[in-house]
Amino acid sequence: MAQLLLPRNSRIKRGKSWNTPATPKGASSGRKRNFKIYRWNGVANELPRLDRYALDTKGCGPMVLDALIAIKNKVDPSLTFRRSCREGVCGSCAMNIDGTNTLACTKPMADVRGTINIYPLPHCKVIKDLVPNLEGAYSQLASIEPWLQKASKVSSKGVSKGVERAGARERKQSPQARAALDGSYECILCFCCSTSCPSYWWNSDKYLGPAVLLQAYRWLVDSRDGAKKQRLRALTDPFKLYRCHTIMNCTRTCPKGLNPAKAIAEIKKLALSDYKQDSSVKP
Amino acid sequence: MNAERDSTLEQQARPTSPHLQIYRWQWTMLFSIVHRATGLYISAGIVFLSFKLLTLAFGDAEYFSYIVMFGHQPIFTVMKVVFTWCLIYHMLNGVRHLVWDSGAMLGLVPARASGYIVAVLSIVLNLLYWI
Repeated sequence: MAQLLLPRNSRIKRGKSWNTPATPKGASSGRKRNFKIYRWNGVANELPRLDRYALDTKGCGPMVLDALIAIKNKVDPSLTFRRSCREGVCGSCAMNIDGTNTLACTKPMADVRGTINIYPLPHCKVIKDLVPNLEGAYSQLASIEPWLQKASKVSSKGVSKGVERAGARERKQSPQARAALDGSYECILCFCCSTSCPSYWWNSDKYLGPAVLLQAYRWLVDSRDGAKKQRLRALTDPFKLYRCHTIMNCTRTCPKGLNPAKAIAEIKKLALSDYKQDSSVKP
Repeated sequence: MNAERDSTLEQQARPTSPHLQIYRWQWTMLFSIVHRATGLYISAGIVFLSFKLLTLAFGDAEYFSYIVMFGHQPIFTVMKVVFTWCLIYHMLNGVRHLVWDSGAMLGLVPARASGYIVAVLSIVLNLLYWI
């Protein structure tokens, strides 16, 4: 059930104000940028707070991640966040910047006017500061079995054309069949989309969310995969797939420019044709 | 294993990161929530409408009492105008959803454009209906 307000232990209180150490005499200073950053230090019964930082961006890179690193290095070493590749391929630094979810490493500070507000990915349990607990999403990803499967012998009907017996031969794929994966294989699993989806906020225990459904689609349309029918069956219950109400926050926020909403619509179509196929067999 | 760990008291004590409170309002969420709200309003309005039909069916005296109760309240006129707008918006946006179900117009540009078209068109049609 949707809980629109934050639980009592999650209400944000006003935090501390931090300043960049004064610039030494004679050295020129750059443009100051103001930040408001969500902080929670991992101590139970302590409320999260919103700390204010004024950062001199001279010598700092252009991206929000550069600023976060500068703050951690120069102002407040206790600020905690995930980061790794700094070029938008690892998905570690996914967070809510200026009201939408994106990767801090590919979000230019220049895109934001005024104070830059930074929160962890929305509606997640917070581990520390900007680090959310994504274990639920990871186990949902595991639940769709994101790996190539051969057709099971039990239901030989589901065998897609061209799939040889496992181990007998390399599983080849035509360039056209390979093109079906474009737009879904590029996902870096940052979960910006899932945590932007109001439907996922209210039902993250039962609804799989856009990121995981995009991956489910990626395996459904893989010409080499032989478990299409089982995959579809596993998705068709009132929640896993059909809690998507085409709000499209996912597509709007994807830092890689992918379209999970479209993939979900395509899964719904596949599920429908699978259903029609089955009911046409009956007299 | 993960699920087990999630359900421990330790996890319960962790704060939930803010969501509705901080997420930037944009056309995606807006058109979606308006679709829901108009749906709710229509459902409530249908009760009034069926009440009117019932009083009509029961004869002059009952229908007259209905008119006395609601007919001359200015607020009721406002509610009726809002009702028809909700109906029109919900219907047009329903068509948008039908098109989406066919897999079409799910790009950001057509989805956004169709959303604004529905919003403007519903207001125009409602005006035309009442003028």
